[in-house]
Amino acid sequence: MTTFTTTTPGVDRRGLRGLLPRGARAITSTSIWGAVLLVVLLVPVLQLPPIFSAALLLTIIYIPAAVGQNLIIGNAGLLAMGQAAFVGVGAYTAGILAVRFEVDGSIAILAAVLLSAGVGALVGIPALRISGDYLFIVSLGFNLIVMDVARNWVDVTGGATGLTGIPTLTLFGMDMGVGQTFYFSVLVMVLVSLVVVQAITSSRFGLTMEAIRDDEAAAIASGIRPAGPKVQFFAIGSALAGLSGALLAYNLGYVGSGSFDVSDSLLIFQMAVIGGLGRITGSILGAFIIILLPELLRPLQDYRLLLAGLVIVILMILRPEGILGKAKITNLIKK
Amino acid sequence: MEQAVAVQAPHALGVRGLVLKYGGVTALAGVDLVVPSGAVVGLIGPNGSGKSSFINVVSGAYRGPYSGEVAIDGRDVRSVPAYSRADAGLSRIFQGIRLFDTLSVEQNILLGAHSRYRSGYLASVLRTRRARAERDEQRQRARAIMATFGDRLLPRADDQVMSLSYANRRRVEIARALMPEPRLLLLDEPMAGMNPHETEELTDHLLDLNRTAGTSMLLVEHKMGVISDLCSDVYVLDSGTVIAHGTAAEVQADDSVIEAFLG
Repeated sequence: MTTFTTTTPGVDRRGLRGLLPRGARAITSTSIWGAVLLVVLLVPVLQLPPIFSAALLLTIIYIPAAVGQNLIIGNAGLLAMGQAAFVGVGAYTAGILAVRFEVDGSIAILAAVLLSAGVGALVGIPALRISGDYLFIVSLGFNLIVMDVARNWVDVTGGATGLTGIPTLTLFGMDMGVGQTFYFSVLVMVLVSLVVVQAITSSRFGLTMEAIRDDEAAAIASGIRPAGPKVQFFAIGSALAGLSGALLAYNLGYVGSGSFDVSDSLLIFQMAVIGGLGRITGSILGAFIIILLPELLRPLQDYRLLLAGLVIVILMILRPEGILGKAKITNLIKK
Repeated sequence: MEQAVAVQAPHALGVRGLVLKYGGVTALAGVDLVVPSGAVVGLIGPNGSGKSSFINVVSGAYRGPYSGEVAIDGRDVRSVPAYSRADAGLSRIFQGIRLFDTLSVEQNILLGAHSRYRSGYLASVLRTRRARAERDEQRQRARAIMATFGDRLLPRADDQVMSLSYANRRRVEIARALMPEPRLLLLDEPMAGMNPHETEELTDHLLDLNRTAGTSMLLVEHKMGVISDLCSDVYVLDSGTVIAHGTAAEVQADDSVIEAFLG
């Protein structure tokens, strides 16, 4: 039996743009994202208050993690929530390599991405046997384990004190400093990761993954082996979180276990869900709503989780597939 | 002449002495069934007679223990997992329709060609020349298969399958099942939920497919009219046993069959 109870056909696949006349959809999509990119590119040049550019930088850094979460839940249909653990794996990997071994940023970031992918694949393997809410609990448990390791493996992670003295990012021997050059190098790396994600989701590989998500039995009957894509998508989603972690380490110059708790996983989870599952642009929007908005509205900072929770509740009532999404999160839980 | 070919070619489906027990319940008690190459064979029986168990063993969806022989196109498939049976020449459509609901008509049909690709996932992400060539080739095949349904599917190629009518969704499912060029098509109540006109149209389509592509079929169906129109050979299953086997007219006149269905 079909598990997807999609309502108004057409609207769901195209997100909010479905409400606009056909011709306007393509134009709005391109122009909106063109405008966003333009603003993002102009920010360092515009000499805006540092608080704004810092918040924007943090938002951009978290975009890969949010997109990775979206790949895992939205595209693969695996209900897992533990992205902060992989952000942590990436941050510690890059931080340790930079501090203790003084390697170039390019190698440290690459190592962070690969190790996160490897750990992600290991966590993804249980996803083959369990699904729905059980996987959700297992992924949370994994997050707690990573936190415990980070706090107690003092020799490597610095324990509760954290890992301090991370140098500024050097790429191929060139120091990126802390200002505009760092901002743009982060932006380029994030954009490259998004291009890779787009190449994956629009390929036959991405389509096969969506087929498995929609109906595993029908996929198997079509000759598709579900195990491979599931583990691979889990690894890719985790690798993206690892990228966020490595960039975060260089941005803060410090890695502390406090940034990778379950509540941080929840924030990344919310970025993916609010923006819309199954849509890259949705997660970008989600990152802006969850990070940039509260950073800008300082008085609201203490209420970030509350506000995000409220937004989610309202969204789930009004638009269960998220702002730009195409798959309802409730469809994943039922399985 | 056609007969001579049929004798030499391996059976599209050969099942011998199939016994399947769920705990203490015997679902199949030694079933022998043959779908000769190029034939359309019917499988009927009351609810709970073991039809679904039989289909699940043949498709590989049932992974528990059973005894007996199961061969598709002459190849023993007992140790072949369900996802590899498309490679062995098997394609199926489900009781009730199972499609990839969030995807388009064309995407659904293209996914049926999965076993035909030689280039892997990585090549598809990197858009290698070979991956693109294969993709284009399958896209053309998908268009050609859609075209066999007249103007039912082609104008809706980019529509989400959920927006289609029930009969059209069934057509998409059949088109997807045809993409691997199956030797054996497993049809589990394909006409269920269709009106007489749609039933007749699909019957003609399947007959046409059998004649032109020589696709062998095993048809599970409740509508006896469809069975009579399509099947050269009909097996009747009751309580896990074949109680009758012959032409549609023969089995309909069989006393034990009448008793099984009415008694």
